[in-house]
Amino acid sequence: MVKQIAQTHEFLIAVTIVFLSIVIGSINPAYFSVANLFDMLRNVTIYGILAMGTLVVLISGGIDVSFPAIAAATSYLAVKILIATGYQGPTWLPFLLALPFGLLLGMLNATIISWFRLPALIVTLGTASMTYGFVLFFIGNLTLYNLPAGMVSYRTMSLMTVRDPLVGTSSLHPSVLLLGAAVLGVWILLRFTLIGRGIYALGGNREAAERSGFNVRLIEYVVYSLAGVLASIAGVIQVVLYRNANPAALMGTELDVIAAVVLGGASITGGRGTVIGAGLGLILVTILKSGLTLVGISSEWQKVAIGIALILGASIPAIRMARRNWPMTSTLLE
Amino acid sequence: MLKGEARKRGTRATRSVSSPTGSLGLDPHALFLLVLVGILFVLMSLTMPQQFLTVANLESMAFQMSEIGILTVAMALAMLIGGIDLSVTAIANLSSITAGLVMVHLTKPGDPSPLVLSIVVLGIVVAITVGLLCGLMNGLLVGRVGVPAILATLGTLTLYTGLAFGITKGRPVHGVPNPVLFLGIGKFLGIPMPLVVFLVVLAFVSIALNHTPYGFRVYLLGSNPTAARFCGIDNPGIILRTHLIAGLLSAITGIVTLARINSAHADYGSSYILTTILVAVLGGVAVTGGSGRVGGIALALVTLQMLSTGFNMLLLRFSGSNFFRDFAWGFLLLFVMVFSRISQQSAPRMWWRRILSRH
Repeated sequence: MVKQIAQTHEFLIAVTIVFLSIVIGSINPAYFSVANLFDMLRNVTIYGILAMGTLVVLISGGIDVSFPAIAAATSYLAVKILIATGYQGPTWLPFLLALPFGLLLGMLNATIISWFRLPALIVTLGTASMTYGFVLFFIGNLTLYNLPAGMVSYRTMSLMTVRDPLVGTSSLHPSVLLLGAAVLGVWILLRFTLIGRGIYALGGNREAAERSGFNVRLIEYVVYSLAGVLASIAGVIQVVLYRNANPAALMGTELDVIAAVVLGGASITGGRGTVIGAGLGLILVTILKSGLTLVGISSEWQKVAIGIALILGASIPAIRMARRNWPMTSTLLE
Repeated sequence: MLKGEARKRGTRATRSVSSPTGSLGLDPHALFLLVLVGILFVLMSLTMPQQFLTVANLESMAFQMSEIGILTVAMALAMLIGGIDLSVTAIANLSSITAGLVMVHLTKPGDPSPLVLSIVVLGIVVAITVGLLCGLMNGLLVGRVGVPAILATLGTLTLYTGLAFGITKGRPVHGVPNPVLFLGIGKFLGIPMPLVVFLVVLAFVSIALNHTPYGFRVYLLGSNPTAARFCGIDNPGIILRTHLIAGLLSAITGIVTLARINSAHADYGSSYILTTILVAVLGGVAVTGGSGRVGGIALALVTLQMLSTGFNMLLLRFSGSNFFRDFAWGFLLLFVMVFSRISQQSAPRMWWRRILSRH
């Protein structure tokens, strides 16, 4: 069984993470501090929730680049409405308010992709542009700083605080619980439900899944709606943690999240991927980003590291598949 | 043998093969676009004559759309073979940055003219080399290694943008010598230079696609990769060549941009990806590959440029009219794709639907 685990993509990523951690930690021991861990967790919370949504979409054989737009738009809308009504209460209402918008936008994606059988990349590119453009033009393009009091006080809550003489105080924000819930929920969905099976089936071979009796349309709706809902949750967390509602928030982050999920073993053509893998991929990307800074490489080169990681991470499964199919190894022979 | 069969029209199997009669022809899609362009032109001339119908405005439109145009041809080529290239803007930026750095750092304001000119040429050569190398990497990843185009170009996009950021530390490159600026803001026989470059590119690509074996194989590969493979077509080779050309065209875009705005930045034009896909799709390039003509792209470009100018003029009083354009482009992309799909699917009873779907 150990040999089986050792052959998985996830194991490779885990080994890379350990290796990188040792290298970075030996150059800069601050890497191993609890404060650094909390910092990384704070970054990971928002991206992690987004990654879960992206994972589910990728496994189903689709792709969604509109989730940052959904996150920013739904949270901005929710905050704008709450400010207009003078709401000052607890934070769970903004979450609840943003959720239906996220669901709606996710369902919009699903409708166009599923009913008209259009390529998901281009459709979601379109909806992303529409969403950002709509909010920025019709709703407002100013960043809002006067958040309801409930959100402000939620920001300062902490599950655990650590005082480190070198790095200063760091706290563990309760939103990690939301991340935990999202991870657990998606894991259960993928592993223990029929719809989860259907998602893998759809990603593996759409026609076979249809003929096996899976309701492919329903699965596609579930997948894109889930991505939309998770995006809206992540968007509200983003507002809380950064203390402002920016309608253009998270722009450009879709690549990072997709890169993380794909690095973790999810195939862009669908049918493969695990929650653990996505988590590991995200950790790897986070380490690459923050670790490089700790080692002294300036942040401009971060993208190069992620780009190389992504290219390598994408090439390895492709080469494996080519080797498995030898001698019929022609590319595009799907 | 194959060219003769290409002349057959009407059957769905051969509809996607380009006819040797050229890129504009009597294609219904192109006709539709032509009519649309005409309507828009008349509409805008009537409602805003003093703003729209001026030489200054027409020239400004020609300047703006040429860059997107060349970039769109690059994207369209990648789409024609059934893939996509998300890294075109990154290649353009990297090329313009390297060219700019060469030109800025190897010349001083007082230098003699022949020296400046040769450095400018060197800069352009460097940019083109960068573009070709980037395209080579894309082509190898998609063609030889077998990484799906979305993922490969996503990775290379990140890599190239990262390199651009790393080289420039996030700061723009500017101050290029004057001779190069002619390329961006000069005029040749009264036509803005960027437009001249764009038309030359259009001509070359049109000839390559319609009159060479390479072009023929591109369409075959895009229509059905498996069949192409079994016909003996070297799929990886065609993919490699196509991405090389896309890289070259992206580099050319970068050079023209550098010449026009005298500045190169790692982050420039990140929203252009959507625009290029929109122009390609509106111009008739099938999203799954295999069909599409360069002439359609030109018409779609003109349409969108007029729409864009129209939006700007109408919405000048509101802040952020750019955002409305983003919204409009997203909506239009979805609308055009859905409409194409609907007209493809059913056997339409309406006569006008039948005309539109007969391509």
